[in-house]
Formats: sequence, C-alpha cells, structure tokens
Amino acid sequence: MMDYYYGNMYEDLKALEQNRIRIYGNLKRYAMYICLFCFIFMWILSSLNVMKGFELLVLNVFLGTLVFGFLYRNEVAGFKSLFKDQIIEKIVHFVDKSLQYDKNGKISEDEYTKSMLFTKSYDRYRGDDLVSGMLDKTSIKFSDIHTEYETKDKDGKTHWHTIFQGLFFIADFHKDFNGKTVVLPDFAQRVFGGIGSWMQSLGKSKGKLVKMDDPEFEKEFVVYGEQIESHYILSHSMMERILNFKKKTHKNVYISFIDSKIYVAVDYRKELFEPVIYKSLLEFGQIKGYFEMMEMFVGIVEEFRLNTRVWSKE
Amino acid sequence: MLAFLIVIGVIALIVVVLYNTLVAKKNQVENIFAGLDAVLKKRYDLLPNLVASVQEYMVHEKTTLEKITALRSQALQGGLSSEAKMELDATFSKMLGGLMVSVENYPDLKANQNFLHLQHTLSELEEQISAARRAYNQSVTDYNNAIEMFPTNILAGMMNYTRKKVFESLEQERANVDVKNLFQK
Repeated sequence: MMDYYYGNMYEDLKALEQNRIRIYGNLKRYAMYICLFCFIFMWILSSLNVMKGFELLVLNVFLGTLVFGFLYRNEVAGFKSLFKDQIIEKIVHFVDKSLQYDKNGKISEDEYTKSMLFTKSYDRYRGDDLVSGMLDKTSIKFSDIHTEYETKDKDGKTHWHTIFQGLFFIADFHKDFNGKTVVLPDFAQRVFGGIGSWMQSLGKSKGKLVKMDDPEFEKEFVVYGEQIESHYILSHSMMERILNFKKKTHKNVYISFIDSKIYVAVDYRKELFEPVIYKSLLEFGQIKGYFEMMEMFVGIVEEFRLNTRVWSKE
Repeated sequence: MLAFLIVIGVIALIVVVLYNTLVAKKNQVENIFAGLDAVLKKRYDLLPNLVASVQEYMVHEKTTLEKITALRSQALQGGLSSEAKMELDATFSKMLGGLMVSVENYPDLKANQNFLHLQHTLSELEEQISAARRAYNQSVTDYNNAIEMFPTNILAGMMNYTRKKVFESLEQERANVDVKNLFQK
C-alpha cells in the first residue's frame, strides 16, 4: 500500500495539497472579512437606531453564515471533484483493478426501495461515489446514500431528518432463493429484552418474525422472512460472519436477501470518501483511512464468502 | 359489580391470548415440519436415480444399497408419526452419508457425469434439509418453552399439549471438520 501511495498518488496529492492550502487560506480570509463587515454593519444599524441588541446579533449571524456557506461551497466544489478523480479513483483501482468508479453515480432509488431495509418513505434521496464491477463470479456495486424525510413545525419551518446515511452495498448471493429475508439491528430486544421480542412479533410489515438458533445473533439482530428459507440463507457460519462484520464496522448493519441478491447497509451517519479541508493531505494516516474503508467494503464479498457458490448456482 | 365484571373480562382476555399463542406455536411446529417433510421427500425421490447410477460400480456396497432402498419405501408409506419420520430420516441420513464416503473407493464412479450431477443435487438438498431441521428445532424449542413456562403451562396441561422432540443429529453436523484429526487417524 505504501509503495502504491508513493508511486502512484504522492505527486497528485502534493499538487492537491497546494490547492487545499490555497482554498483553506481563502476561506480563512473570507471568514475574517465577513466578521469585519458584520461588525461594521451592526455598528451602523445600532447607531441609526434601526435595530438593536439580540435581534441584530441574530440577523448578523444568520447573514454571515449564509454568505460564508455560499463561498465555502463555491471554493470547495472544484477541489472535491479533483480529489475524487485523482485520489479516490486510484484507491478503488488499488483495491481491485477491474472495479469502476463513478463519482456522481449512485445506487438507484428502485434498488434502495426493493431492499426493504428502510421502509420509511423519504422526501430526499441523494448519493454519490458509485463503485461497481465483477469480483470473480460475484457482481457487486456500492455507493454512498443519504435519505431524509421532511417535517414542518408549527411556524411552517422545514426540518430534515436522516433516515439512513452511509454505505449501501448490493451483490449476487451465492444461494438461490425465492423469498425475502430481512436482518435488522435489534433495537427493541437490546432495550426491552423479552418484551421487545414480543413487540417485534406484532409488526408484520416486513414478513413474519423468525427466531434464529444463535443466541448472540438473536440478541443483536431481528430477522423477518419465511421460516425455513431464512435458516437456509442464514447458516451458522453466515450468522457468525455477519456478527464479525458488525463488530468490525462498529455501526448498525442492515442486511436483506431478496431475489438471490444480498443488500447491506452500514449506517455511518456521515458522507464517505469526502476530503477534509482543514487537514493536510500529505499525512499518510489521513489517506490510509480511505484505503481501509474501501478495502473493507470490497472485502464484504470475501467476508461473506459470496464467491463460494452452492452447486446449483455455479 | 362493574369492577368484578372488568376483572372477569380482563382474565378472559388473558386466557384467550394465551390460548391463541399456544395454538399458534403448535401450528408453527406442524407447519415447519411439513416444509421439512417436503425436502426430505425430495431426497427420497432422488434415491432411485442414485441407486440406478451407482449399483453397477459399487459391487461391494450391494447390501447397503438394498438397506437404503428398503428404508426409502418404509419412509414413503403413509401414516407415520412425526417421531417415526424423524427416526427414519436420521438412519437414512447416516447410511447415505456412509455411502457417499465409500464413493472414494470407486474412481470410475467419481468420473461419471450423471453421478456427479446427482451428488451435487444431493448436497444441495442436504443443505436445505439442515436449514429445515434448524428451523424445526427452533420452533419446537419455542413450543416446549411455552408449555413448560408459567402461565401458559396451566393452559397447555388442560389442552393436553406435550413436549415434542428435537432433531438430535444436529450437534454432530454443527461441529466443524477437524482436518488435522482426520489425518492423524
């Protein structure tokens, strides 16, 4: 990884770092100007007695943030796009040469809905950084996805709430099946114990509650689907691998098996593969994080042994 | 008087809920057993083909083949209790497993395309059977818990519900193959 980093990426990173320092400097300057301007503006308005005190402060902070936000987006957009073209794409190719990367692509809304992982209807669907390709016999794709729903408070102000934000991964599954099996984090049982599991059995929207024969898995996850088929898909080793994967990510993991495909969603609650503007790009630790994340995502195929096909699906 | 009626109403409601839970659990067991039975039957259906394709090669296994065929016809007779079916299946699985191991002694057979196809189908079926057994055992455990735990046990006693047996061969299947141990033997 180090060789690849110095051989293929270091020059680009150096050029990008220049870019970043310039942008960072610009942003700091803008911030200073905006503060100065706000101060003068406040002083004029209060001396003219148009507005005063708290209201004035609120107005100023609001305007200042708005202007800064606009400038920030403008400055960073180009840098972000360059960073993805030059750095993220190289990281993808380092992990596997055959993979394709599309910085503007995303998992489609149809696929998101089909996965049945998040049944709450969304008002905004966004995503980027689509990686796709064939790893041995298994076709995979994944991207960053962010879904939100909208609420309005009594003043008519709009609020956005995140339903899911993080990695959304789809691959062929190595067993054929017809039904739907959905594995979700078991919030209810973790909090309420036995009563929680009773409550789960009442909700039928995702199918019938299936009890699995692995106590640790049963404690972490709740499974909906058809009794025998869920056991067929979730073999003992599969349950163990899912538990391992969850431990590795330290995040909530959602998995479903539908139409011979596996859908995996990892709730990071942040955008993945985005550059950090206030930290140096030349620190290896910074870039290593992207490498590791990409390796982990592509590694799902290996982790869940998706290439080890059952006889009927060779 | 009203309070008394409310108490009676609540008790009646609890009894109804408990009764329904018990019936649901019992039906669940039966339902999954039917699913298991279906995959088991698929395996039994595969057997005549298997026997036909191996018997000319496996001359020394003649008695085993006859025994397996006899077991199959026994299993396909109607009117067996689920316990009897489970026992038959355990013996059948064991003999079939043994037969598949002895295939190693017949290189010609291992090269036979028809046999290979059958073997693949069989191993796929074995996996489905194992899944069905696990689902069945889980539902039986659920059911057994319900009929032994308070307060459902009182009702279960009145309804004449008794404990059901789980498949026991599972433990052996669950253990990973210890390759090192195999070589040392």
